[in-house]
Amino acid sequence: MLKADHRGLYYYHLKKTGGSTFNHWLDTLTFGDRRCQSGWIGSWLMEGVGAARTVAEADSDTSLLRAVFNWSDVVHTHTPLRRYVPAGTLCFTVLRDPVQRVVSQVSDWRRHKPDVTDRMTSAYRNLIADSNRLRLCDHLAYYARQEGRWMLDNYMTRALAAVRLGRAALFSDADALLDVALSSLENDYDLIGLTEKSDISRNALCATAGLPPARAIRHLNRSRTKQGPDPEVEEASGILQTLTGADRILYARACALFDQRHRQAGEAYDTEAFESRHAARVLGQQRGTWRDGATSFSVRLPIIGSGFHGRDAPGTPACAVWSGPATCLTLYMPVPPGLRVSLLIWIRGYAAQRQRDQIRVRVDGHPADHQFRSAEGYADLLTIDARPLRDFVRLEVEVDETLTSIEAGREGLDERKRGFAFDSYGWRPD
Amino acid sequence: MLSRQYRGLYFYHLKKTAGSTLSPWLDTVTADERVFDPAWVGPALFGHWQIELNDQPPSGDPEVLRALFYWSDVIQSHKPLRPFAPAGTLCMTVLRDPVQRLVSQVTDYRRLTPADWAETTGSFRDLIADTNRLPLRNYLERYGHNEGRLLLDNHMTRSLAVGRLGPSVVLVEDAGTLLDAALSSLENDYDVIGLTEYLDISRNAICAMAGWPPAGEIRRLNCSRGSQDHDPAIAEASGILHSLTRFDRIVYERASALFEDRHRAIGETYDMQAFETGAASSVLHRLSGTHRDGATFFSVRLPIMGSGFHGRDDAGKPTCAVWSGPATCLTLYMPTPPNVDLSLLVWIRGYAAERQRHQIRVRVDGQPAPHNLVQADGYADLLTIDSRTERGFVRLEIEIDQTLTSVEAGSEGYDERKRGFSFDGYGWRLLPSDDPDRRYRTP
Repeated sequence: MLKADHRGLYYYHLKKTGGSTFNHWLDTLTFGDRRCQSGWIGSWLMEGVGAARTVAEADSDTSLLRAVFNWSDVVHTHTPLRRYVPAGTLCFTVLRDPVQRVVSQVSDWRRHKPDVTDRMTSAYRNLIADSNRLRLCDHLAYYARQEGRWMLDNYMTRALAAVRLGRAALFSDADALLDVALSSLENDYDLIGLTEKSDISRNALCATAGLPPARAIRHLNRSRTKQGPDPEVEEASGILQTLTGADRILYARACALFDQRHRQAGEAYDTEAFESRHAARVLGQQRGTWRDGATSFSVRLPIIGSGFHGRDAPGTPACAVWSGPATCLTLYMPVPPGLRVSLLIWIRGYAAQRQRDQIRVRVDGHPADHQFRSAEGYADLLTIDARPLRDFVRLEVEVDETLTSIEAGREGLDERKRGFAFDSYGWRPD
Repeated sequence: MLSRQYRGLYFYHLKKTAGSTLSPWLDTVTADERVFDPAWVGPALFGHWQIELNDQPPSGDPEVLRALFYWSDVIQSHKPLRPFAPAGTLCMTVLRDPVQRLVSQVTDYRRLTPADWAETTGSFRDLIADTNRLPLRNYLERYGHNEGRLLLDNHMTRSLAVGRLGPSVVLVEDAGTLLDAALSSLENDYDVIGLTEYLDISRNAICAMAGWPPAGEIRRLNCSRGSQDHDPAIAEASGILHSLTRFDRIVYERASALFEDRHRAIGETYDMQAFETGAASSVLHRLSGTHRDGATFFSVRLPIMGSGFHGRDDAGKPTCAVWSGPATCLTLYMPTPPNVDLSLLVWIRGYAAERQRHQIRVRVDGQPAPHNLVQADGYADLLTIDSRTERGFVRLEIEIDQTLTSVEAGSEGYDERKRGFSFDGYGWRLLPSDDPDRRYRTP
């Protein structure tokens, strides 16, 4: 659900640029039954390299590559679909410091378990297995000219050039692809983000798409936890520089474009800007359903707000969402202006029971009293009396702390910092 | 799902003006999970037998009446909700020749059985039961100015005035005092004023305003008067009929003039071409399908843009499906990518009679197109039509020779609807095609 200027969103997820973190968040912007699924198109870019399909077979699937934009409003994929994107789609991608990206790629392989590589070719299996057997510099020296070339040798240049040239870009000399990649970077994307400025990039996307300002989200699929100087990286610096020559030029251009086009919006866009420019129009598209005399917005609908994790059990009736990782959950919803209503959140449970007593609520920025009512099948029905004056309301629910399952004293590891789980929210006329 | 100009539709259903015929049709233009439920508004205002007889002015719950416009895109009710409709709501009502309407009201009561009024008050029971005990004239003379006032004495005038004056109109003895308010409401409160006598033109005028495909034939429902021939009982009651419709006739005359002035021309001329060159792109663009085995699937639980189908069966359930009919041609519009080869699909649950399967003929964007019937788990057939689209949407027309009721009336499993085939979804699958870009992609 995007503002009227855009019919959908395409995120070209370059590998190891922080995209997994984005994807969960992006999925909440579309319906639960219309979220992008990787199985729809496979990995067009990878197949033929790491798996058994031939390049020609993979290339013939262009019909699917077009169709995917009719199945979801938010398409995120490693596959370069830019040429298949329907007019009016907001297109964006994110680039990362090239050396950090290559190191992250190898670190990612080092985490793989054998069962992940079962369906790969033997050469590709060796590449992954050797990431743990060989030192970084040796691994790069051996594989960057062979099976791992496209992911290790100026991957971002290849990936962007592939948008224009197709899979031929995987096998060409990277320097020869640079102009095409630069042109694509410059012209094919409405927004170019940077991993190093992830939050500003997300906020710039929110400003462009007409979404509420971006707040903290959980970082996912971080393959490199080591911070600071790494002797292994130091040792590989020579080959890392060689393998990222074109990517560094590309990245420098991405940084310049980011500063020129997006930084200001990403830094300045805030709640006031959303509410005055976009909220009425975006939230006017949000359609609730009747539920015991109330208007209910299921979390299976697009969720307009911040301070929540991606959907659990998506696509099933049990679908719910946890607040977190920040301590403040913000939800926007359309309401009849001037009407006395009870704002409602159907709460399934808390990470720890003590969070129930920590809840504080604000309505359109003002502190508001709340009550807990009983509702069948729920821990609580959080109820707040209010009289919103606009076509929409901003409901903020704050707890003192968000907790992992261990911190909350629960069994079963859930490393997400969580507050409470809810499956719908809404309002009831008083 | 209306054109961007409107956020929703409110149909003020005046009793016995053919609103029941419009109801299932209007339900199909909103999502199945957002279909209006009359229970939402309860019996607190107009539209409930007991309340209509009650001398106490009923109280409404204005918060709920405002809220319900957030629960459905299409609100259709006997209740005067016009004051509660949010800005941007397309508001419509339909009026009928007052004498015909009044006779139809009494005929409607005559169809009720004791079970229908078992839980009602004594006076109401008499009002219903006496429709079959008394001749029309005596009946109207007995009840027209008493318990049955609201529905029998200038009902349309009272109903329109209530939006301006509130529910006290039930208590007003002289409907003439309500006339100005009724006329003012008629003139200013409704974007479309339809006439029962020109129901198809009225429906088509609504389609033109709402940005829907032109209205096709639909089944008439809740027709309480079977014969329009000369009826001696009506002739005998002509005096009281005229007395009880004195102000309604003025309202109706004004409605007819407004219909001629505002709606007849568009209602008579609005056609597929007007839809396709006008609202089609923006309306169909908002129809969002889902992925189904590599195809784009539009469930009949989504708003259905087209014509030639009955209302939803099993509404609100996963088994929800729709029958084509009563006309022999089903028309479905759906958004498609432009300039691509694709297979259009209709998931067919079954046919009213197996022979209809062999009668199917298909047109795509008006051009005859060959079709295939292929197997699909859980379906009688998956109808597939290979085609190439030029626009951002496609018009799929499926024609059969005849639509059929199930068996003879009175037999087990009788379904009086003229039906073709039942389907629960439609959509399209892209076909592999020559992609001019492919020549660049050979490694």
